Amino acid sequence: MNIRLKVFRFDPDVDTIPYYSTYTFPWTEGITLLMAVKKIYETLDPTLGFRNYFCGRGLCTSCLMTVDSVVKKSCHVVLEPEREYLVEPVKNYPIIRDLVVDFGIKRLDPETDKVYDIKCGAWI
Amino acid sequence: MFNVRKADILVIGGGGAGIKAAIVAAENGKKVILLSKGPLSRTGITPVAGEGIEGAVNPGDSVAMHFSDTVKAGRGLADEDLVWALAEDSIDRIHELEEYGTKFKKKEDGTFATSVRPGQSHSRNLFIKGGGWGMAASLYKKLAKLPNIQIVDSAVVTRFLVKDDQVIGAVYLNVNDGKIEAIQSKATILASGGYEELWPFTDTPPDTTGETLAMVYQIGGQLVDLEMVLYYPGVVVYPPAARGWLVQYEYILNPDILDGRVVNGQGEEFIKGFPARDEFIGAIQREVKNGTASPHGGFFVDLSQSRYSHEILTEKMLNWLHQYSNLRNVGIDLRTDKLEMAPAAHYCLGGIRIDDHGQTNKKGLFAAGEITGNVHGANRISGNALSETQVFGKRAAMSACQYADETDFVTVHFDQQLIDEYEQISCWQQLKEMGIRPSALKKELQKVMDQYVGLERNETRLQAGLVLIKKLRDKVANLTVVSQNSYCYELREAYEVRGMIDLAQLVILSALRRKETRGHHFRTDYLQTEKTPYHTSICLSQGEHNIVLLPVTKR
Repeated sequence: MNIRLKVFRFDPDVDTIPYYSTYTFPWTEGITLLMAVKKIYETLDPTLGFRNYFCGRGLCTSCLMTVDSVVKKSCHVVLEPEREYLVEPVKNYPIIRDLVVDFGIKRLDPETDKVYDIKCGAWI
Repeated sequence: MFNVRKADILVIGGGGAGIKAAIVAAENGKKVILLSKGPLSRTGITPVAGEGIEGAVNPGDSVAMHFSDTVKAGRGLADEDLVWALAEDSIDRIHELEEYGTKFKKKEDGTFATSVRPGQSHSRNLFIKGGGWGMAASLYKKLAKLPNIQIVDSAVVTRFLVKDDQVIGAVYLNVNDGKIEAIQSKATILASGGYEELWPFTDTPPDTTGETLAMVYQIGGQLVDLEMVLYYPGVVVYPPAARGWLVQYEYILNPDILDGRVVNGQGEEFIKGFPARDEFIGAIQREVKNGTASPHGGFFVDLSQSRYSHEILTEKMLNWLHQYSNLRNVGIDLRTDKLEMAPAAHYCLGGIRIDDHGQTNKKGLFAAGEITGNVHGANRISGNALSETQVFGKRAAMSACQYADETDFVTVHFDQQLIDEYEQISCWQQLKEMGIRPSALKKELQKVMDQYVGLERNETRLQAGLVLIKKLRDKVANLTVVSQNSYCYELREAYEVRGMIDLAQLVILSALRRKETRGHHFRTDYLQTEKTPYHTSICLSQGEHNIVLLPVTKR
């Protein structure tokens, strides 16, 4: 029994438009989407970009991905065999590469509504 | 010419201790740069911590009781001046957390709800809503409101900058764009956490690789008790979907919370009462030796004989144990399913030596949090880790600010260091005949550490492990990474594994030196606990590893 993941790919250094890579590999009991993406990176394709962090509490949302058009915590998506999943980066954040988005690029001060740009270190 | 950024205070690490230190430094008017491996509240070890934080806030409790419980739990190896600081400051730091927006579970009269943990003489464990993540998120919110702070949330430090025996900054790889950058600082605060990732089974995130500790060592930093790795008795090993998740046994065994039992592979109860972590580990090891442990070398959780009904258990779990709803999300019901747990690397007790103001033995270098090595001793009370981040985060920041006031930026050029770093990267990016990927080398290292430097240790196995680690060290030159600039995670992993291998060697040397059994260090060839406790201290001296025994500071 296999799993197929169709994964969003985009490297701003070389790609002008995004594309998709499809990976097929054997299903194992209890494998979650986050584990599967890590397995692709470690055994099939070192160029696949993802955030390798998990809190194991379902709280940190570091592993958010868009799965079949729905935003989910990938550590909580238990994959079923013989199915294809469409895996894309979480919506509404700038894409750094592949499944990695920039969560921290700007922060909003709830009191003044000013935006602090962490890259230039100033309120704008 | 490379661009070098300047900051009064450089903070390395984006967990609880690092953010606290950055807040305190910024509030003192300092210009701060914080380097973190990932986006704040989604990085480091704090977000994966349970909900417990220690502080003598309740009537009938006292700083002196918190102090003596912690010293006792440390099995004689905690430096008592640091423990006193921890006990004394934690109350105020908890109130500060509340000001930042951290939510605590409260009683009806508005006072803090608490529970008793193993080793406590009084109910002292407060509950943070949302656990460590809840705390990290509120710290981040506070930090975000302060001016003068720049955050780089994709940085792995590659070397420290030292001039005249004084730490004056650091070089880092920005993983988001593949660039090497340098920061010059008046004072540097290290808060980059533990090194659990040296072992294959942990409940900590993959960030915990400890390479900064190896770099501190190379510039002459004094590391203590590196062999002391706290194994948490109960981390899920089966089913696979929840592997590596912490489900706190303190809640399961506590008769006032879940009133559960833990049973061995044959369904027999093998734990009575409410054991501390090192005692629980000892009991599991006896089961493993007798061949009565669960299939994955651990035990099962059993709530079937709890005095609470199914419905009350549900309510209690939703109220007290957010770990429970996560298990439900991957299809596990703690009330009816057999959950198998085993010990996992959970917290590194050892690390860089500090004084009670967070000063290390290196001028200009301060440290706080799990990276430090002499706060808890040979075992740690549940909840003291989060208190530690806040207490020593603040203390290190205050000392660093004072140091920065008395220091000026020296004029130096770092170009050669940056060029060296780019050369290292291009060397790793070359295709090699015998090339090995960093993730594969990490796995080889973890296998060695598990087999030779695991829960139980002896001279023969440690020596054999040392030989194997030295062989792995030769493979660092053969590391091969993909050539990428945007989010070059594999390059970060190369830096990580290089440091991990260096650090593994120091851990083994320290473990060899401690010829006794104490706390979380189990020697099968030295079962005795020496009457006088001592720290194993390791320091680089004229290119040689110099290990000495140091007395424990008494109060």
